[in-house]
Amino acid sequence: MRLNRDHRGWLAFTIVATIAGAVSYRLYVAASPYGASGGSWPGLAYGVLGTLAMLLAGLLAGRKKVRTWRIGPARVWMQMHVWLGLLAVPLILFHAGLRLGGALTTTLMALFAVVTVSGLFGLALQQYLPGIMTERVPLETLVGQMDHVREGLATDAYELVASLAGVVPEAAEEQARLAAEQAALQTRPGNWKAVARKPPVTDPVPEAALLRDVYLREIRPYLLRDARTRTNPPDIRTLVVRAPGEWAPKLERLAAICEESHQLAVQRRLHDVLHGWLFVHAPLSFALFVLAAFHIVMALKY
Amino acid sequence: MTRRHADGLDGQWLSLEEVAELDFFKSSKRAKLKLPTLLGAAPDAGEPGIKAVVRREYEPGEVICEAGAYGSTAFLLVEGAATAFLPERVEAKSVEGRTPRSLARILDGFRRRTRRAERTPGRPEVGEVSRYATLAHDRRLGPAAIRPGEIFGLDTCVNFYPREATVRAETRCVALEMLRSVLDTIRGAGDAIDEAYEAHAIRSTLHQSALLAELSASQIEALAAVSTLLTPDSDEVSDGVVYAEDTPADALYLVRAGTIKMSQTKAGGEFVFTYLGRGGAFGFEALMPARPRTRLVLRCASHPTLFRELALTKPITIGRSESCDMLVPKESRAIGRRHCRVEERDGELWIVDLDSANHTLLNGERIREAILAEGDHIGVVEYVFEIGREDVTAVDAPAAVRVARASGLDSFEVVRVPAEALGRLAEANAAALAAATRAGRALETAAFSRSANEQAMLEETVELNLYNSQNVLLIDLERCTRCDECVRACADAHDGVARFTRDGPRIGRYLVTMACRSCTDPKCMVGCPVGSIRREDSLEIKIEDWCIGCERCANQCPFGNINMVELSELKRPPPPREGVSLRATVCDLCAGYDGPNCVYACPHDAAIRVAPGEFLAPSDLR
Repeated sequence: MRLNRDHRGWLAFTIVATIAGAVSYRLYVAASPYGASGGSWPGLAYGVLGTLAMLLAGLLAGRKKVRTWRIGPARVWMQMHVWLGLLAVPLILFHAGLRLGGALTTTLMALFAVVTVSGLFGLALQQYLPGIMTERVPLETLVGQMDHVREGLATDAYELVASLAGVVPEAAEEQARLAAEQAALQTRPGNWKAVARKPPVTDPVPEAALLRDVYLREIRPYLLRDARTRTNPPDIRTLVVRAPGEWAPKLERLAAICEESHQLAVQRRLHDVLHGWLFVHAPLSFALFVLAAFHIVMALKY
Repeated sequence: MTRRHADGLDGQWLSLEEVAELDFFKSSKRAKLKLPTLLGAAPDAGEPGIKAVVRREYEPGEVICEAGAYGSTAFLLVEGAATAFLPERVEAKSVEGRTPRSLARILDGFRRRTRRAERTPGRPEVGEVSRYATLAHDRRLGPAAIRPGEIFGLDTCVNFYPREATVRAETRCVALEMLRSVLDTIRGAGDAIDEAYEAHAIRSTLHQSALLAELSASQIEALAAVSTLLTPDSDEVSDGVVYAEDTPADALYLVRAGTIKMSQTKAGGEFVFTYLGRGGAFGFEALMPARPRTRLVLRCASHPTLFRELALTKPITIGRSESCDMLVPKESRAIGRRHCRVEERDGELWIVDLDSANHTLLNGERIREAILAEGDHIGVVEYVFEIGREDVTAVDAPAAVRVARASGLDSFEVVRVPAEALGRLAEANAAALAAATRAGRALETAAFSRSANEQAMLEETVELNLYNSQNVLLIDLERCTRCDECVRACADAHDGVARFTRDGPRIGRYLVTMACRSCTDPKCMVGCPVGSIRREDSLEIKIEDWCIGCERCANQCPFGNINMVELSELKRPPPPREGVSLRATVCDLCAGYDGPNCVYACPHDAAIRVAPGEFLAPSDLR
């Protein structure tokens, strides 16, 4: 979530609540001969408020399960998640009397710290990475469609190469996909998304051997590589120089396909970073709630 | 024989036999030929497959259709009498919230708009694209009586604009409401429907045009008699071009439907001046007095009989030398042999002093060289020369020609008003011509005073076809984390199948998603063989359960925003029909909810539903 002017109210509330908490904590410590304690009434109050803040922040996960329910726009829940999550930090620290305590509470504090830091890290990423992705990946696609798009690019590249150099037997996967496309076209001839494909050339010119070689050696492996592999797109400038002039538009398209594949890889990496922190933040938040519940039960019981 | 049926138009639908028996349909050979196919006659049950015509009864005073409401049907009055009239002020209806489980009222405090529209739709200005254009003018046609056998609501059925007038039953009425597929079968079949439609279209356009507000009703009727309605199919229109540059300007045009692009061909490509929607007007060259196209001349103001006037088509030297173009008498010794020269440089006119002893003055000031303009006075000792223009009567006043090309961006309707007829009226009503001329000049000035960024924005708007989009789902890519909550929310609200794709062209930092744009001129709704894609009384486009999956609407949507879904993928598929395995789906703006779920479920405040023309600003292009 991008922090902007819309957050001013939340920011002011969090600052005021933190200051109020700090002042009352100072007064409470000054009035307590044995120092702050989570078991005292003021300590318990901090604990209850901190837990409430954590719970409200954590409700975002539930809100995302009922997307169509009219219980407030999701952005408001996200704002609440961010700011109440932050407010929980001083409240819990005041509840703990700025100490770690025993094994359970130390574990709780460690989890709380990791959850908070990972959340802040994610928030920081969200300020910059969407913009970077927008700038660096103009040909962005849906992440869920990425494999499909990569396959499509490989098929498009094969179609181009075959239209210049004839059938390439090694590209069996691409040929199978083209055949499947044709079969689908037969069943739904009115489908506007169907693409008219160029047939393979039957009598390729001698330069076709070079194209076929570059395709099998560089272009095809590049297009079919693991999406997370960092590799530069193949350089086909030599091919362009040596190929007949009329091939130029198709070779340009081939280069554009490689570039699109490159952009998809960049998108994949940025997407992984943008969402990777959630793999820490979400499960540890769940663990935090479980341990916090255990802590509450134990504290109330004993 | 009338029955109620859950499918099709609500009401008492008519069987093929009943429709064919009506006098109105009996007279149309074409309708006879097509109706059986259209209504999908099922011989076994005698029931039509498609319920595209319904019979309705209205009590006196009951409203048959309401001005401002969206729709996609036309009415044929069978019995009774009705009146069409325009209320004081109407606005097109938006999507209504109808959810019973909405807690929005309780949680109203949660509501906040992402970004306010800079202005709300209001009174249209000349040339402004506005879907409310015809609904907001002060002058309205008076109440019109509708008699049995007359069709009304054609404009909404054909052009999909909100209804222009409210129609109320004066006596007990029976009317047939029909989908466009039925209307199309009877239009152009010699039933005079087209002629009546054209005549009404011309009259209402002229009456409602702010440009002609100064004219009396009788003068407008006179204009209507000589005006014509142009569509892309008209003989005068070639490939959507209403007129080309440099062709004679002989008419004024008023846009009734669709979008017209005004552009000029320049060295760098096409320069788009503007695009005009309903309520817009163009072709003002026909009204404006011919611009002076005479040449600039140099004449002597102080001694007019001594020098002849010279056209400034080549450098002119003033002096005592025989080689000078303006030869000063030799006795004027204070003037140099070659005193000064008037010449053109890079399209501008300059005066250059040729190192004269007694200097050259421009409008009383001594100069070495300076740019000249029409009306400037050049002082050469006792002689004063003036930059003027050839007398207009000296050359033939050129006929007005088009300075730009007018072409339709989509299906359009334009009323052509001959300049000759306007000219005749102008003699009797000079104020009308003056108002029209002012409007034309204002449009021209606006086009030329546009900044580069504004121009880029305009061209981008045309390029992305955003000019006729009324409600677009934009995603702010600098906020969006690509979490796809919007897509999931859409799927949650629509039977597990999302109605849009988070992909599409970009405009600045915004992604224009592949979601229905609620076009003013929805091409998807043209030609549905069963009339299942339509608008009811609000903005959203709806595809009914009786869709036969022919894919025509999906093919016709220019943006690919209609998707075909296998019926087996739907959680609650419509009743099975033989040979139907697909159905079209389109974003319905989450009708049934109090707002689009894609926007509501976006946790990052990135998804917004806006009218692009009002929301996007040139600064958004970066």
